[in-house]
Amino acid sequence: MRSMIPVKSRIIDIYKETDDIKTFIVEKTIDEDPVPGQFYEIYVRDAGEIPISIASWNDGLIFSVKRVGAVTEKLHKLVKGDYIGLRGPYGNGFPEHRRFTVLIAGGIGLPPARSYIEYWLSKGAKDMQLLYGARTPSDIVYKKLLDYWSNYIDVQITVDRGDSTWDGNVGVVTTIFNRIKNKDADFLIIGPEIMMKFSIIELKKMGVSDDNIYLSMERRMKCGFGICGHCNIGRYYVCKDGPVFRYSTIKDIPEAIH
Amino acid sequence: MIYKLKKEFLQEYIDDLIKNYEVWGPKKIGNDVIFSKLEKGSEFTDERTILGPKNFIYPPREKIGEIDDKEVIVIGVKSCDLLGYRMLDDVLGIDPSYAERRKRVHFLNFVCTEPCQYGFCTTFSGPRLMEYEMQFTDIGNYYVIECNNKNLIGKRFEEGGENEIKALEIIMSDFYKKMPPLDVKDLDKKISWNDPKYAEFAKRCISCGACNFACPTCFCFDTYDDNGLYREWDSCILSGFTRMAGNINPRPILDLRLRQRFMHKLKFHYENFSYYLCTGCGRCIETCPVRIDIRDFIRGV
Amino acid sequence: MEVKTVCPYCGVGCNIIVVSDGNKILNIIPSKYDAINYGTICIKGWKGLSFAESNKRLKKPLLKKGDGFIEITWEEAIKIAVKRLKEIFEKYGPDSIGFQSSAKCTNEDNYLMQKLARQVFKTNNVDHCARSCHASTIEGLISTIGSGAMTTSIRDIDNSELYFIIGSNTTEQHPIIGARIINNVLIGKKLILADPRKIQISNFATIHMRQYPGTDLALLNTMANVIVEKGLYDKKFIEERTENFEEYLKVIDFYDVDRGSRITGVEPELIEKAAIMYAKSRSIIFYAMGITQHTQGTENVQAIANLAMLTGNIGKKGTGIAPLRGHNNVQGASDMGALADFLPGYKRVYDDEGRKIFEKAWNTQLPSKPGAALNEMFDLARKGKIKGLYIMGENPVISEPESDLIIESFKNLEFLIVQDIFLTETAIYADLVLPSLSFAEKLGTFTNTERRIQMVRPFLSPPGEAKADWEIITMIAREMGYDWRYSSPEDIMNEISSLVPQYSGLTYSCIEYNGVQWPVNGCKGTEIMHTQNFTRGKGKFIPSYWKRPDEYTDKEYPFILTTGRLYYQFHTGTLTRKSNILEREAPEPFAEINPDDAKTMGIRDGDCIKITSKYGSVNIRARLTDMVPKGILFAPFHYFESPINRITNPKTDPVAKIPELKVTAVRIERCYP
Repeated sequence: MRSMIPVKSRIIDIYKETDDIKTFIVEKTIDEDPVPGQFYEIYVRDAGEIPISIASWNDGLIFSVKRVGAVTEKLHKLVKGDYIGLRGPYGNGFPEHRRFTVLIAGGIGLPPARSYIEYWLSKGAKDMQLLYGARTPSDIVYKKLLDYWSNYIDVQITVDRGDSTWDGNVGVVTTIFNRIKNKDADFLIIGPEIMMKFSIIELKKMGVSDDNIYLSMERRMKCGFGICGHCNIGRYYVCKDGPVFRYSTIKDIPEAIH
Repeated sequence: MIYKLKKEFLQEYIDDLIKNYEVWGPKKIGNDVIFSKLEKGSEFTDERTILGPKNFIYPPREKIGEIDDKEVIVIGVKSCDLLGYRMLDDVLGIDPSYAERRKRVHFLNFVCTEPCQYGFCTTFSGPRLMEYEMQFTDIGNYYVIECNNKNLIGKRFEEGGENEIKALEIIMSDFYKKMPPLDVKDLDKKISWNDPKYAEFAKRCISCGACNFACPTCFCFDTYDDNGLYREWDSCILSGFTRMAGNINPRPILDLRLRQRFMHKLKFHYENFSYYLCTGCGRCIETCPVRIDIRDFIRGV
Repeated sequence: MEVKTVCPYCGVGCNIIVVSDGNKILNIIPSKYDAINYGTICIKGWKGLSFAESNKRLKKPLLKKGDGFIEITWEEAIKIAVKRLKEIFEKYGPDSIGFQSSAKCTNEDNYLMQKLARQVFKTNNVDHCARSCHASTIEGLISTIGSGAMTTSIRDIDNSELYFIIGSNTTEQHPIIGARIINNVLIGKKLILADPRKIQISNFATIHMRQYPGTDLALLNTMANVIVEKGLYDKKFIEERTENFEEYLKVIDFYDVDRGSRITGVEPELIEKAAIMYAKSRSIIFYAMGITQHTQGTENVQAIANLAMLTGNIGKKGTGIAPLRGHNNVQGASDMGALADFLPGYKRVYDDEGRKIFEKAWNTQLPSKPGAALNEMFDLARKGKIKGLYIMGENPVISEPESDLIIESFKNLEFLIVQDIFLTETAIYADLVLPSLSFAEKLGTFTNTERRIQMVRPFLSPPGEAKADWEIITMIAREMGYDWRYSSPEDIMNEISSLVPQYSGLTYSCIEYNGVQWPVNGCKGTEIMHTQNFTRGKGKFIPSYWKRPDEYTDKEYPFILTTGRLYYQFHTGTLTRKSNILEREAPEPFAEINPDDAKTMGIRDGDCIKITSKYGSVNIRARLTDMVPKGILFAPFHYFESPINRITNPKTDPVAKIPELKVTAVRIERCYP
């Protein structure tokens, strides 16, 4: 829906995932179904609009939002039954699943990964692997889902800093790259740019070609469909030509990964 | 269709338009000339304004969803501005609120017969456009009117022909001699990510944003909440343009932001649309407090 | 409709044409008028005018009830205001009420505010924020050259050969003047900059002296010493146009280059080179808060005047002294006598001859004792001497030092009126809030830093029931029993032009579109002052010895905090924080700290630091930058979230009573919010 006018949508339910991440289930007021990797512009009254990736959808749209700024602060204060504005779905989404896919997700990059995993699992595809890095064990989102998925696909979790409850891997997500099951795969990287940078270095060391690495880029986005200019990188608009880009497409743009 | 209009009848023509439409045109206020609502034809002047009438199709600040539904005629817009608005259409046209407003505005452009101080329009389309609704050129005692909108034909318009076209061509040929076009062949390929001019301009740029606000082709906007969703003109040379939550900024210094402005206009946009996002109007130079000159930049590439 | 008006932000006074439909702004167009802004404006002009349309504008008079306010009618509001003010007046006497006028309001508003204080309430307790910024300019320049304003014009900048900027971050605070200077430097003119920070304009400085905060007087005296040593002073000019040169020589003799260098921290060769360049060229000195906001503020300004007179760099084309006034109408507010010790036109209140003119015109005896200055009013309120305050267009809780004590002083008042366009951090403490009009809705005049009186024209309709400041003040005066008959601002200007010599004979039709620079004679203005004689006749050299600033570093407080402003926000942010773009560009407070200092203390960029002075402490985010030299911190004062004025030095210059906001000794430690 290429319009600047948000559609009033009711919050059907809210779950607290961690200290600063909440999952919102929102009334699906827009007909068009999203595809994995797309995002919506969410409008919060008295605050503003922010782009949030779709985590999942069925009867409602599911978003997981981290509290980082003024708008998300206000959003976190809302309760079930409150209204937000919705525009979307925007973006190109992840490429169609065609072969073994490794998803590398960091922090709040897990929700878009969820959209891919849930969708393709529902279509019967099981040739996927998830490498997930969170800051600390208490920052891990979707604990139950991660458990559930591990019944079907390989799920590897690591934390930057462990605690007394944690007996899994401690280290940044590149430290579990040795557990990647298949190098002849499509790699989807979703997370902070510093994580992307180091992940790419490691993948290149492993011999992965630029064409098979996909990045879910992030930029300040306002309109969501390529007319406000904020997310411009080279000739591309992250909201319209992305947010998912092949590394080969953007690797020669100096400011793409900064 | 070509017409001609005796110059002394222009005022009457505008008066006639005012009877049926809201008409905006250049008007003198003090020593300045600005686009204003005309109450009578005598207020009109064909002098150049410092800012073009971009706000008619794209207001500097508007509440999203609010559209006024009046039909407006903007007469006296210069060709460089009008060409810019067509470039805006290519980008913003997809937005229904822009398209709605655009439909209702008729631009009647005036062709410059003398180069202005900072303009370099001959580098792009030049003062005489190929596409127009109604294009006026002053050839001395007459205006030659190239017309594509039958509804706006005035009662004093006379049929024009070969002579009028010849007169136009002579004026244009003179114009091009006085304003030789800059060489922009392959500019999109030659422009560099490391041009030293970005740092040079950043030394003195005071981040006023005038280059973006005065430009007829700049379309970037920001949205915000003020008891409702609003949008306003934005400027890519401001640091908040790309700053994200957590204070992460892909363009943290002014050099990089100036680089974005020039590369977006002269490379990225060309790669997407096959034309440069510039019409050579020179308004960015005129409104820049430190006279950063895009012509210098182009010549230097 | 379209009107030509003046930007409400800084003292440059850019001419802007606003196109509006009466309810909202449709377009903003810079005027091509080349005397000031030649078709350009800064980002505050482009993006900062939307505050006028904000729905947070005050629309109705408000009366304090419990913890909040209730809306009342104008009739009730004026009655209550007058009843309470009269009570206080009758019970405690005339000097028990203080009036704070506004540098943001028009000349007409300011003239009436001081007339209300003096004619109606018989007190000289009327002052405005010039007290915090250029009070030292007024005192310093009146004592040396007779007139406390910029001696030349903005357009005259093009005629100079050299610019000496000291204590002014010109490209951020007076951007269009800074731009004009840069343009001139690019065609070969020279720039000498004296500023501790590496500000943007230093990119164009031929010489950049980074003097230690509070050592400006020593620097200026040393430069004078070099000029005299090298014989580069203008003997003829000094002989014919000045007096007291011998005294001057005695003092600057003390400041040889080595001593000057020791005090200021600037290399001796640099001081020497700068002095020689300044003396040999047609030069203008630009200065702002870096010079004025000191306990030696008045003496600093006198040193600047001395330097200009020494080299004959005044009274001719391309030369002069340019104090860069901060607000759009702080020059006008000062001209209108909204000052505790000056009547309109700069006659002192104790000057019997000068006072007689106003006593005759206003038909009443006027007080001859200077009143309380802005900062003194809060002191007196705390001591119980002032019981009522009428504050117009001022937000002292954020803009004045020791803001905690200001809030405390409100508790001692029996009645506080705040007249403003938004419910500011000060207005929430008021007993009565009166909604007024901004520059967008009223007719009047502003006087910019080059003494140019320009028309301000309305382009929006008033929000709710808000009234123009001059109208509200008139209603109060009439309710007090004085037959003020002003039906329009033009009536007020007619009175002003008959009583204020610098505005003599001025009418709105004279001002028209180009404005007129005072001193005005009929409709003719004055571009360059002091061309034949100084306003006081001969220019007087007034030399002083440098003293250490009131605060200095020691073991307990090892850093110096200097405060200042940013480009995107303006003063207490009442106007700029309502604009989406401006707020986005500078959304939160920060303190600049040198990276070497930060490393030593283990502070990273973005960390929370607690800055503590003798007066209090403030938590603020650290920003590492080499713009500040080691040992110095810089923080802007715009933000209520980290009100830096809570901890700044309230000690003042004894003559001008301006606080030493530029030098406060502090210590820093990490904080964990």
